Amino acid sequence: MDPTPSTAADSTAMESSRDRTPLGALGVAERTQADATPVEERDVVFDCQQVGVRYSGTRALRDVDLKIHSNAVTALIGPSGCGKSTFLRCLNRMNDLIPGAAVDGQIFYHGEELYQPQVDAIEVRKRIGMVFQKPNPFPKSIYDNIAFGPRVLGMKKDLDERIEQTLRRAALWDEVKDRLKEGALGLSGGQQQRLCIARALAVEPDVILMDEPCSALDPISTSAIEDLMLSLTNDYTVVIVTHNMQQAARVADMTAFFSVDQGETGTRCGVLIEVDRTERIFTNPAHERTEAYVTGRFG
Amino acid sequence: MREGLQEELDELCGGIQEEGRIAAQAVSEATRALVDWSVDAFEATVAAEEQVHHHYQLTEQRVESILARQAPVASDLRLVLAVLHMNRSVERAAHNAARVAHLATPPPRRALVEEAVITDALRAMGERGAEMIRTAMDAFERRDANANRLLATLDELVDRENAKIADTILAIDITDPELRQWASRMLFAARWLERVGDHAVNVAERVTYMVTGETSGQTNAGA
Amino acid sequence: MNAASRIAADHAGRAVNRQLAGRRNRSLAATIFLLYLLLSTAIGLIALAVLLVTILQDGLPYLDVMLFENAPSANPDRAGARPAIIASVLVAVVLLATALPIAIGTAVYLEEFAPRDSRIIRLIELNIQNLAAVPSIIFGILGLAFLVRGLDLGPVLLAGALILGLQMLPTVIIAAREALRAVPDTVRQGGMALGATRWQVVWREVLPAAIPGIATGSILGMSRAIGETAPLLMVGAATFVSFNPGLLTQYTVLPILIYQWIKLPQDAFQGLAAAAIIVLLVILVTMNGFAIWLRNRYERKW
Repeated sequence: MDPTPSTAADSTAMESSRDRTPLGALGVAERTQADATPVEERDVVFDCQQVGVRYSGTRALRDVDLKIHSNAVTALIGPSGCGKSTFLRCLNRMNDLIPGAAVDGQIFYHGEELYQPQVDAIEVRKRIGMVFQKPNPFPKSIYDNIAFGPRVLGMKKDLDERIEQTLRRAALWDEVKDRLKEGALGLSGGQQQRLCIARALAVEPDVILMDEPCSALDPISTSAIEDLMLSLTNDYTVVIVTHNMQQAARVADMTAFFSVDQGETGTRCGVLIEVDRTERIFTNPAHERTEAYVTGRFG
Repeated sequence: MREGLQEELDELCGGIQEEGRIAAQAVSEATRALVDWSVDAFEATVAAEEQVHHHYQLTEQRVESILARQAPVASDLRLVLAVLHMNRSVERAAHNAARVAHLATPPPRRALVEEAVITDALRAMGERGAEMIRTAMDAFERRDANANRLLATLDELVDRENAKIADTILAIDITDPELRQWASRMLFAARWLERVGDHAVNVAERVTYMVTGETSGQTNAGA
Repeated sequence: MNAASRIAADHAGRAVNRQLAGRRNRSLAATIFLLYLLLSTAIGLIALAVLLVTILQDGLPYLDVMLFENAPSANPDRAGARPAIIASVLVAVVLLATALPIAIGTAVYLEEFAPRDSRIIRLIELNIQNLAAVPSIIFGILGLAFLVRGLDLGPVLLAGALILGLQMLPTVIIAAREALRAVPDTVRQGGMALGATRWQVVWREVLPAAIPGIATGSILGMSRAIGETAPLLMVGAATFVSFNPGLLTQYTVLPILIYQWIKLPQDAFQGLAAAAIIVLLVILVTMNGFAIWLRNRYERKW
């Protein structure tokens, strides 16, 4: 994986797109942050305070206090039903699309409250891209898949160049450059997922959210995606949800462990148990429940 | 949950306990061989060292297998890492015991006033060393994070005996070659017995790490 | 092996033997059932074959250029089906221009935009389901009351086509909704996650992906409408039209012409009717075939 440094042309394009959007005025993180800076001291991209989610009145997640730092991979782990995916979808307001879902608490994205009425969810999703569990390329050509975002957002200038840049960034260019016009569904699962990552990168986001991005992939494709995640942290902030603890251990700088609290009435609600540097979570977690989960002695 | 891993960890712990028990025995026997000039004790030491070495290899294989196949994390990982280090220390202690046993030599024909002082000190060091290994292994069994302090105190005593031996030997006016040989052998023996104490301290330090996840940084490096 | 375990093994062996024996019995039942299924299928196929053969026997001698060139006539030697064929094509065009966009629009709205838990929406959905089950003659009565008399259109082709379109709506809506539903949600989410609006996602991704399914459903709906007779009789399709029909003229369509010819006493008209049936069959089979081809060609596995 080559961590292609963004060229001058590239970064000016980013500036202009940033200026176009109302959120562009926000102090977006410096794209290159010295690797030497400890994760906890890097800029805070998301500052979540007392975040909770209810689905049609039933509480699915409560009281999440979590800071997500820039240019790092933050992994959300935990058992099924612990609300980690739900939480991830709060970060780019994808929960808005689910009827009956209500988010409470506050999420500050570079200091700006995401759930203020005047914030446009569409704008949020432009800056905070998302990759899903199952590769979901559009049923059209590889080229058109990447072009979708820029076209929709009116970034039509130098489209070919942008597509090449993006595919290179997602370490997919060499594999697909001769068949850009072929259907994306003809790619292998791992390639499709990298295409989806490229598609998200094409609209120049600041953050990439990944919801179990490798759960449908074989080990080789998985490690290709993991390499990609690591190289992406040069320019982006990455948040992944994963069922695979080893994956979190391999790629994440910070790991947040979510679990399920059983209410007295049998209701189950997700909670954040602890968040810490990944090596600490996997060598010496502070909380017993984390210990029980990561050592596989949960339940 | 994870019964397979738990079984392997139990086996690993059982193995290192046995290894520690034999190593302590080796130190005791070596001391007896040294100060009582007992051939039985010498042979017992050599046999014990071989057994310890066998256990050492077994433990290493188990650690390797657990790391490769079970990918242990958190307390499991710390246990495995602790055992990996303890294994080395225990094996070194037994090896030192064997060296001590090999240094056994008849006392000089010319009666020496200091002889009793030296042999008493060596005996005390040996017994204490064996006891320290047992204490450290017991701390491992009980997951006692504070045993490292006790062991450090005991090690002080061992070091003091060692210093006493060295002072005594260096104070002897050595002209007799036979005496010189004996004295230098005892000096080395004291040195190896002193190291046994250090290894026991290392074991206790690893136990502390295993339980708390913190290293005190006070471990005695080297062997 | 001790005695107890040997006995246990023996028991297990016998149990297996019993099971295998049981399976033999069941396979006999399965054979009988299979024969029954084959017979049922055969009856349908034989009936269809007899029908086809009879029609081909009767109609082929009459299937000539005249059938396409001439207008109906009292003289079977000069009678043709030209106005009816033209009217059928016109009906298809009207359906394509009116019912299809409305049906697809409805389907897109219901599937992609309508609030899921709204009572009105559920009522509309229920209505569409019911409409699909309404007998076609009822649509005819509706057309007569509202289009022919109410709007005072008179018994013209447009009125007939519109009523056929109305009848076709529920079928196409349901088919189009199925096609839209078959587009996985992940495609919508993928688009939304890129900062596209719902409208952009539907227009650029969901609708194109659903087009094969929608087309298949629409063609099947249209072919049914073109073969329809009953509602047209109600809205006053004429039986004898010798001129080329327009949208606002009187008209007849193939099925009605066939119906008309069959009622006539002369044997030659029976033959002509059979020939017209062949024409109608070819049109319908072609349309359905095209629909099947579309489905197979663009069928996607998500």
